[in-house]
Amino acid sequence: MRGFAFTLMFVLIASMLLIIVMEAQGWKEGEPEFSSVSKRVDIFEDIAQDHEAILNLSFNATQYGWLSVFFFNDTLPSSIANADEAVSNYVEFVEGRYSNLTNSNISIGSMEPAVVFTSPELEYRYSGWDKEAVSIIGEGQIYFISIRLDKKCTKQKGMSCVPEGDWEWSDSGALVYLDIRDAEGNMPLPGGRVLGFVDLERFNYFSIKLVGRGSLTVYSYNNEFRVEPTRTRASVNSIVGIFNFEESIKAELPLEVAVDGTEFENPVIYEA
Amino acid sequence: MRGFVFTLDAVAASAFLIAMLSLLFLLASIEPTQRVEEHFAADVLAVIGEGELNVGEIKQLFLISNKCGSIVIRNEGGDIIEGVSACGCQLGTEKLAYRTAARLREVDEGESELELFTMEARVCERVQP
Repeated sequence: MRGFAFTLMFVLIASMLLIIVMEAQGWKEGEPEFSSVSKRVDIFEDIAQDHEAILNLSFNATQYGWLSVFFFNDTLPSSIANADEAVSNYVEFVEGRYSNLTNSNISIGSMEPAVVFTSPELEYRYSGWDKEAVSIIGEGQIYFISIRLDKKCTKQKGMSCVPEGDWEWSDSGALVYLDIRDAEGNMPLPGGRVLGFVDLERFNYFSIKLVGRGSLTVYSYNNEFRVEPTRTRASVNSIVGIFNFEESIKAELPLEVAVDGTEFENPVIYEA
Repeated sequence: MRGFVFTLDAVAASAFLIAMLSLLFLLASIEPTQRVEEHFAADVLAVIGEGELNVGEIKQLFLISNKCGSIVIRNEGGDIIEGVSACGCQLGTEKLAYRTAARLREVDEGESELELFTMEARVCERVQP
């Protein structure tokens, strides 16, 4: 009788413990292992690094007190021949060959040609991977835009680089300096000068004609500053100043990737 | 008194069982040592990034980490275009990691093409002779 009672109690307690342990194991089943998570993150970081390489944009940002200053050094259009097609090939390569190699299911949801600053809000966004136009979108207070063209302006009535359009300098708004020169160093004077205030809510634009049916169009509207060179190569260096009371700068890439069911988005590529 | 002794015996036996089970689960949850090689393979590719292979630096990386293995870069077609080997691994002991590398190669003045590569790291533990 004593032996029976002892065995019964032992079996009861041991069974209870076993059930608890098995339950605890069950909670862990849905969670991926650390090494698996680490592999997924590695793959995402890898794609983000490639995204940055394809974008081929050099930028920097500094905080001066309450003013964030962004520097962009760029060349338009993209030096990559058939850039949109090249990026499609890249996506295919990642979702195919790279997926097989890493034994993972990789899917690129979206990969946009832009750099997005979240603090303060500013976007440097191309019209496409061909980089035929670039827009600087944000509530900037200062814009210094320097453009060097590889073609010369056509002459109109003996004058070079005569801007056509409707560019109006105002008494307040964003401080804008437009340092634009053609291949011969001629400088267009939109609205009669190159420095002044611009109301970014108003639609301002001007265009200059270049030899060989080339042109350069610049416009500003609704907090967007757009530079669009056509049939010419333009080296575009921009400096943008924005008041930022948070005193921190962060930039992300607009990228969405799913690796083995885990979704990653917008990798941070700059923090200061 | 008898009941107390029975309970004490049962608790002691259960405690022994718990200890045994805990040990079993502990042993099962220990990360296999091979994982170290897996991490090293991934890390070494991350360090190299999109750059060119520097033979000296890579060999030093393997040496100071007490690892053997190799790193190769393959083009889109899968052909090896660059490779570095630190020291040999026994068949079946290697751990692998991969990375992609998209690079712009200038083909003409102001014109470039996008080249896609895969980098492959094979790593194993360096066994002392």
